[in-house]
Amino acid sequence: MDAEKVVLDRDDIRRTLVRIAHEIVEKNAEPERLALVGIHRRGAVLAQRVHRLVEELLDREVPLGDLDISFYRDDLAHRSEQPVVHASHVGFPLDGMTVVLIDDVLYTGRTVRAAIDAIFDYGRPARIQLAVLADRGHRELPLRPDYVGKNLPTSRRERVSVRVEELDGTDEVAIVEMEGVPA
Amino acid sequence: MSAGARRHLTSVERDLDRARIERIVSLAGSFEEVAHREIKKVPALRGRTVLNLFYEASTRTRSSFELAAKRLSADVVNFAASGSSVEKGESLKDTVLTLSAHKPDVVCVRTPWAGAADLVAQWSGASVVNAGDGKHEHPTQALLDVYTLVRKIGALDGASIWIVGDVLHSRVARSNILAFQRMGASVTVAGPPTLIPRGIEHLGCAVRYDLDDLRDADVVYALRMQNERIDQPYLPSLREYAARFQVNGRRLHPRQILMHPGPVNRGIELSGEVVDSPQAVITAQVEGGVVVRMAVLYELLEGARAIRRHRRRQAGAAARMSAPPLVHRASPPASVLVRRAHVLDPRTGTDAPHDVLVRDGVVAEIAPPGSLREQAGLEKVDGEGRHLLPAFVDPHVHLRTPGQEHKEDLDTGTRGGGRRGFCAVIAMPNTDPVVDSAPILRALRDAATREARIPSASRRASRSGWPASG
Repeated sequence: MDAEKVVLDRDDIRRTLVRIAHEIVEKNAEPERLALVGIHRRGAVLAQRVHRLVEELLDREVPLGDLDISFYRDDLAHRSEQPVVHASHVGFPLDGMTVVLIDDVLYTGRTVRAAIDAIFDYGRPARIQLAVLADRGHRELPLRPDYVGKNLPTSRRERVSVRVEELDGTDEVAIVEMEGVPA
Repeated sequence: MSAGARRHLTSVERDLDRARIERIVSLAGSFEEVAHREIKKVPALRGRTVLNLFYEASTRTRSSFELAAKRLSADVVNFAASGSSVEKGESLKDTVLTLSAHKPDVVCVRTPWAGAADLVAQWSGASVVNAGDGKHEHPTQALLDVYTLVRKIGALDGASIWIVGDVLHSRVARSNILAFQRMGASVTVAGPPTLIPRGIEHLGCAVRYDLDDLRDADVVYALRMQNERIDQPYLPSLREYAARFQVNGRRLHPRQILMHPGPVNRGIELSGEVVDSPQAVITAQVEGGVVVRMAVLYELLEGARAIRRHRRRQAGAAARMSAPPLVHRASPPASVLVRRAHVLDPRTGTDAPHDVLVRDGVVAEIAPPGSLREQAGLEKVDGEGRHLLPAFVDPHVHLRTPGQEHKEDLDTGTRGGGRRGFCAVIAMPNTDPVVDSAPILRALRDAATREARIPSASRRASRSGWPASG
C-alpha cells in the first residue's frame, strides 16, 4: 500500500482558491481583458471555481475556457498509456487578452509549455499568466507560476494527487509515496 | 517510433474491435474542435512522415488523408501511380521499397488489388493504413461512416441499417457491414441478385433482393452504382436498376437517415430530391473524413504499451484460429483389398504388381500378388493392368466456392481431384467474396465438411502471421 499524507483539505483548498482569485483581480488592472483557461481535467475544474469567484469580485462576466493538451505533448512515443483526449473549448477571441492558465499541479513544466503552444493556435493574447494549486518543484523548463496555492517540496518518488469533488468525490491534496519507483 | 512497435489498419475484420472503433470515434470528436480554430493545426505528429501511395483515382480519400496528416503537422509525401516510375514498369514492391528510403512512419495505400495493403505492411517498416484495396476493404470509410452516424443518432446499438446496391463490387459495403455490426447495429444488404455476393450472410447480415421492407431501416446506406458494370452481364440496364432499387422520395421515409460514400450518381442509385433532403448526411460524411483520418493517424502512432496490448490480442486471435487445416465430408473409412495392381512407391523403391490391403482407411499390408486372402467386409478391387501409387497434394486449386460456382464448386472440384489421384487440395482465395475474413473462412470450412470429397483447405488472402490455411 502506498503511503499517503493529506496536505490540503476541503477548507484549505477553498481558502486557497479565494486567495488566488483575489490575486488575479488585484494583479490585472483591465478586467475587461481578463480570461481564464483551465487545463484538463482537474485544472479545468479548478478554473470553474476560480472563475466563479473572480466574476463575483469583479461583478462582471469573464470568459472561461478549457484546454486538452494531448495533441501538444512532446512525449507521444514515450508514454505508456493511451491518453483519454477531451475536446478543448475556447469560445472567445484571445487577441489582446490576458489569459490566466489554471492547472492543479506544476511539476516539470511540460504541460504548461504545451498549453501555451495550444493557446497560440487560438489567437495572440497580450500576455499569459499561470495559476496552480500546488507547485511541487522539479522544473525541466524555465517557467514560473504567477499564482501559487501551496508550495510542496517533494521528491520524485512522490506523487502529488489533487482530488476534486466533481471528479473524485472529495476535495483534497495528498502526497503519495510510490513504492518501487527509483528516486 | 521505436523499431518493431508497429500497428496497422488494413481491415475492419482484423484490426478494429468495438473498443478501438469507439476510441477512434472519440478522438475524432476531439479533432473536430481543432477544425474550427483559427489555426487548424496541432503539433501532435511533428517530425513524422506520412506517405500517401495511391494507385487508383481518388478525390476525397486522398485529399482528406493529406489534410489530416498536415493538420497533425506531419510531413506528407504524395505518390500517385500515374506520372511515376510505375508507368515505366516498377512493381508495387519495388515502389514501396524505394519510397521506404524516406522513412515514412505511416503509409496510406490505395490500390485496385485485394490484399495489397497487407503486402505493403510486410515490405515497409511503417504502419500501414488501407485506403481501399480492390473489392476487399476500406476501413477508414467505415470509421467515418460510424463517426457520422454516432454524431447523428448516438449509439448504434439496435439500429437497423440497410446497405443497398452493388454490394458485390463494394469494398465499402464489406467494411461497413463489419463495422456497423461491431457497434451493435443489425445490417441488411439489398440489391439485385447478380450484385449480392453469395455467402455474404456469413458475415452476419440479412440479405434481400428487393426494397419492399426498406421502411424497417433506421439508416439507408446507398452504394454507388458503377457505370462500368453495365458492359458486364450484371444488369439489363441502369433504368431497370433505378426502377427497382433507386432510393427515392417514394421509398425513403422522412425519419430515415440516408448515407452514401460518394460520388453520387443522381437519378440512378439515388434520386436528386433525397440527395438534397435534410435526412441525407452525405456532406457530413465527407466532412468527417478529415477528423476521422486525423484520429486514425494519431491513434496508430500512440504509446508503446497500447501496441503491446494489441499484439497480445492478435496473438490470442491467431491461437483461436488454429484448427485442423484440412476438412472434408465425413464418410466411413475404406476397407479395400486391391489385387494385382502395379504398385509404384518411390520411398521404398517398389515398382511391381502387388496386393494391397487397406483396413479402416489405413494401408495395412502390401504383399506379392495373389498372397492376400479375401475377408468379409472388404471391398474387392481388381487392379490387374492398373497402377497404384501414393496420392498427390495440390496446394493450388481453384474450387471457386463461393460465388463462381458456375465454373466449379467444392463438390465437383474435390470429386475431380479425387478421381485424378489427389488426397488433399488447398483452394485459392480468388472467389466472390474474396476469402479474407474469419466468418467467410468458417463458412467455407463448414461447407467443406458437407461437400468436399477429399480433404481440402482454403487459403486466405491475408498477411502473414495468420495461418495461411484453416
